[in-house]
Amino acid sequence: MTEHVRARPDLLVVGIGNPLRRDDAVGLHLVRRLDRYFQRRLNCMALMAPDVAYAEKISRFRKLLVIDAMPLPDDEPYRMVRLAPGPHPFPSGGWVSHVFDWTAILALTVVLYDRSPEAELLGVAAGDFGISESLSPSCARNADSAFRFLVAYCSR
Amino acid sequence: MSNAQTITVAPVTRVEGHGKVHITLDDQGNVADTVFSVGEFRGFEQFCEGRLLWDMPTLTSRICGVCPVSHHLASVKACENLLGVEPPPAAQKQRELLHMGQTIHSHALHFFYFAMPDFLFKDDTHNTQRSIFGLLQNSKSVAANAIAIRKTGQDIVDIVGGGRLHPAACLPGGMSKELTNQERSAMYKSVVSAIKLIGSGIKMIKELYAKNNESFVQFAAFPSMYMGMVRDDGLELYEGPIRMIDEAGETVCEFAAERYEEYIEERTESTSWTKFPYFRERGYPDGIYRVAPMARLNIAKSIGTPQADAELQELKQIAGGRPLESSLFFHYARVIELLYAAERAKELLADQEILSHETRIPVQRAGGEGVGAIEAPRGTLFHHYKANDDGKITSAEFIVATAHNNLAMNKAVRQVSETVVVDGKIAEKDFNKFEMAIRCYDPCLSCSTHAHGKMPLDIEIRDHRNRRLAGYSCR
Repeated sequence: MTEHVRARPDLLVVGIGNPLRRDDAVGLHLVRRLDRYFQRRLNCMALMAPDVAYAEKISRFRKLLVIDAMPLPDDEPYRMVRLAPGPHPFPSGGWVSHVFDWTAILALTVVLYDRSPEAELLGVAAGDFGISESLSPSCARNADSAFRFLVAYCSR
Repeated sequence: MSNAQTITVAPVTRVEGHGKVHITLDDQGNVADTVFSVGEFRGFEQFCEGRLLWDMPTLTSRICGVCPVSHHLASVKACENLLGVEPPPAAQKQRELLHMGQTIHSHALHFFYFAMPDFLFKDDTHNTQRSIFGLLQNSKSVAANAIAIRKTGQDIVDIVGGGRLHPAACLPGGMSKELTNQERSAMYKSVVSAIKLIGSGIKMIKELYAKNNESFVQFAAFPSMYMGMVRDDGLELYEGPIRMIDEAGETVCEFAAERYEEYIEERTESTSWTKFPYFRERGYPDGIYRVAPMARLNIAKSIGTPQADAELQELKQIAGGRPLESSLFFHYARVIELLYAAERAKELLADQEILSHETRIPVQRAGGEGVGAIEAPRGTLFHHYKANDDGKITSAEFIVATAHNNLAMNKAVRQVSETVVVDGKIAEKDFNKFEMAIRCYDPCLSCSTHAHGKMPLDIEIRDHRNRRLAGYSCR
């Protein structure tokens, strides 16, 4: 890293995935790589799943970027998707605490803390979710492409 | 009203695991029997055989996603008991802190997320609203406090255990890592804040119980024995002898964890994959006893931290000098334990020794037999291993908290069915009472059968010829 590369202070980057399920962990790999690149000056978290415990922390940022594995066409290494808070009041039976997605977390930030970050999801193309701790070769290439994009995004 | 059709109510019930209640009627249409059954099987004990002793603390923490720390700690204690080693004091303190972290996280989860909706919403509130999401909309500050308290515990588990969900830091002989002063300061600050927030939870539950005392003391209430760990006559969750008291509060026996088989025997029933432990001397099923918060506070004469001690004395006054019998008092006791866990975590974090670099002693591979016990949030947990000279497991036995309470949960749902089944039917508003009775015990059905998966609760009514009359499913 060169000294003039600065991390955006208003941004929280969350990498998500299961480290034992191969490409599912691409979000974890990338967020740790970003953390090293920005020498721990980027606000980062590595999680296995969304958790209500982080709603308060998330609500304190102006921007949230979630990095996760996503099935995508062969020619698309990654895709950016906007995330919006889910419905609130909460839909009857629509969520359970064991299956809690990011729209629910964002809705929680609105309901509990009256604020919510602008949120985006960076989906990285992934297709092998077998039992392994390493990324598949194709997912590793996609992660490299995504990393170059992320460096620019996080240092804007 | 229910009828012969299945009534489906979503979402999931607020218990961990897959349970079923079978109600059998006699030929007059009255309740003849009620059984709570756990219908999943996993067989964790079997596939531990052949694994290295060293693997066990990490392997067994996978039994459960709610109380992995309890299995991790009971396991490492069993390994050390087998190997005849004792970890350094700093490691013991870190482990107890880890245990307090999980107790905070688990008790906050159960009380605020699972149990609280039963108290804040009326009986006829739809199941979909009687949940944490209903709580979020109706009591924002309670929900925000609940999340913050639970996060305090989760963060301690993450920092000390080396993993937010499944810890890996405990090894036979000590801990795999040291704590930094920075980590200690962050946890200390969080715990101090949590103690204040728990205070508001205590106030809330006291008001609730004062207002509803008459109905609460009668709900799923019955005499039983109680079992829990003690330190002298006080509450102990981490290390100490196991004490049993009788229905009048008199001590029946006190024993070291290694001798549990002399006092506890297990029975299997065709209705459930969860076993039915009982007090050997009284036989089955008269040897029914209960574990977990209410049992522990029935046994303990003091707690050892200032605020929790004061709350215990108030609870003892309500009980009038005898053990509490109503299952609903498990919740009250749980919140007092939550306060204790936070206060004890604060004490441990204030102890300079917890930062010591001496967190591990060398351990040689060996065979033998060992038992580890701990007071998990849901009650006394035993791990019992035998290993050959290569250090490979030849036998693994777990007796988990939920199993200890199995006879009691069956008794509780039986009492509920006797009050709510009328002419072979149950009014819609009364279905939740079955779950409330089970929920008091905060069962972890996955642990008790070592199973995993979704956690619906089904209720079935059958006539004396075993024909299914009605069903209720909460998924």
